[in-house]
Amino acid sequence: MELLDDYLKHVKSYLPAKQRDDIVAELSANIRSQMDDSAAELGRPLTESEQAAILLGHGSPIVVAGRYRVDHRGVAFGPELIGPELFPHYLKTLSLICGITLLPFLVGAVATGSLATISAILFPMSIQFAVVTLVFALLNISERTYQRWPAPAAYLRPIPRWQSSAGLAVWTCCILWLLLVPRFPYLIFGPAAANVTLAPGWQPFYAAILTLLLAGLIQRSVNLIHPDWTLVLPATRLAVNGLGVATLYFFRHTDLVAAMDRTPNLAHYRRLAEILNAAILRGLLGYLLINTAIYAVACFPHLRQFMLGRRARARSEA
Amino acid sequence: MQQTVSPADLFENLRLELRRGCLVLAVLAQLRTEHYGYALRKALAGLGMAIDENTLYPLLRRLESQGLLVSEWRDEEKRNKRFYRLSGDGQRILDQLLEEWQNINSSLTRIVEGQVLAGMQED
Repeated sequence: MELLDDYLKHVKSYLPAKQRDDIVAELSANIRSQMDDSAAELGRPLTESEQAAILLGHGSPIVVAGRYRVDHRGVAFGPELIGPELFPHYLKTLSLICGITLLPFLVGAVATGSLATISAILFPMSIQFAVVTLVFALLNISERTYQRWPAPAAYLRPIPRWQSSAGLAVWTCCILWLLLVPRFPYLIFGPAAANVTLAPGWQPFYAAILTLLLAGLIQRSVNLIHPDWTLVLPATRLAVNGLGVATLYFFRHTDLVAAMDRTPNLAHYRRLAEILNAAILRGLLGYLLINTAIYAVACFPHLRQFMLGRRARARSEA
Repeated sequence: MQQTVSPADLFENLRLELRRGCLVLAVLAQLRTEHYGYALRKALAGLGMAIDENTLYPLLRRLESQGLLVSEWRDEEKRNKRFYRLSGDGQRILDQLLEEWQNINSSLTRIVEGQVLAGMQED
């Protein structure tokens, strides 16, 4: 009943905080009973689209939640600007922002012993009032115009083609840059290229990193063609970043940068090379570890869905 | 200025208005026996009084907050459900409302029948 849970989560978000758990528990029991009845009539479990039809019969989450509201305050100048569902959030945001604006004036007044002029307070506050009201009015239009439900869970949403294209362009540039680095060390060292150079240990490291970058390019190309292959992105990136971490571990004692032998002030450039080695390895390690964690989390819903599907198949076969 | 509402819409609006008052009566009367939300909706639909979920479920909570219903969470068929029934105050109000409804009904019957008779006499 993932669809129902998702629907109830959306309804809950529009309900008053004090009652939301109680209302959602009751609504959940009623809808589940209705679904059980429909399944019993059909003599089989409901498909996702049949479940969605029942939920849509109840109405969009904002409409359903709106019926439970006792407080119908909103903002309207003729047509509705901010509906009762968003009004409490609007009020909180406005109070917070105006409070933050007012505070420096009050602190200033206490510190200097003189009150700021009313216009000095009113001007920024009226601008904030207008901006906050405008933002919430736009949100209100968006809530009323676009049905937010049913929407596929975030992990099932197709990967936008613009995202894959932009990724392809950016990483192609990065790969080209990296390919040119051995020939033009200036690209990585800048003016220090006259005194520091790539160490022999760079070669295998370079090949490993290039391979991982190419894997990233392949993933983006695949998702450009098949945006709905949503597992490809997190799985490839988890693998690429995980392998990157392993690669760095393997090269942890390898010098990637060295000072040139005949350079004047050799001690200084050796120190610079040490700093560059540490910066490259630690910077990359940090980046790869964070990415590995992010994409491990992104893979989790796919894995969970896979396990649930397997369990359901095993149950139906039994 | 005359509003441009189609006769079908006008009828629908008036029909809903007419029904709205009866819904509370129907719900209170049906809750002389304990029901949970969905079962009540089915029972009322079975008796010809279909009510939209978004109207019925919030209405039950409103009637409870007004003291006309009492509710209790209980397990039924392995599911925790909220069961509603008429309270003592609810029973008294229901009796009064039923009496009022019968008065309105008989008045309306007399009015409508009187007009029918008058029409027949004119013919």
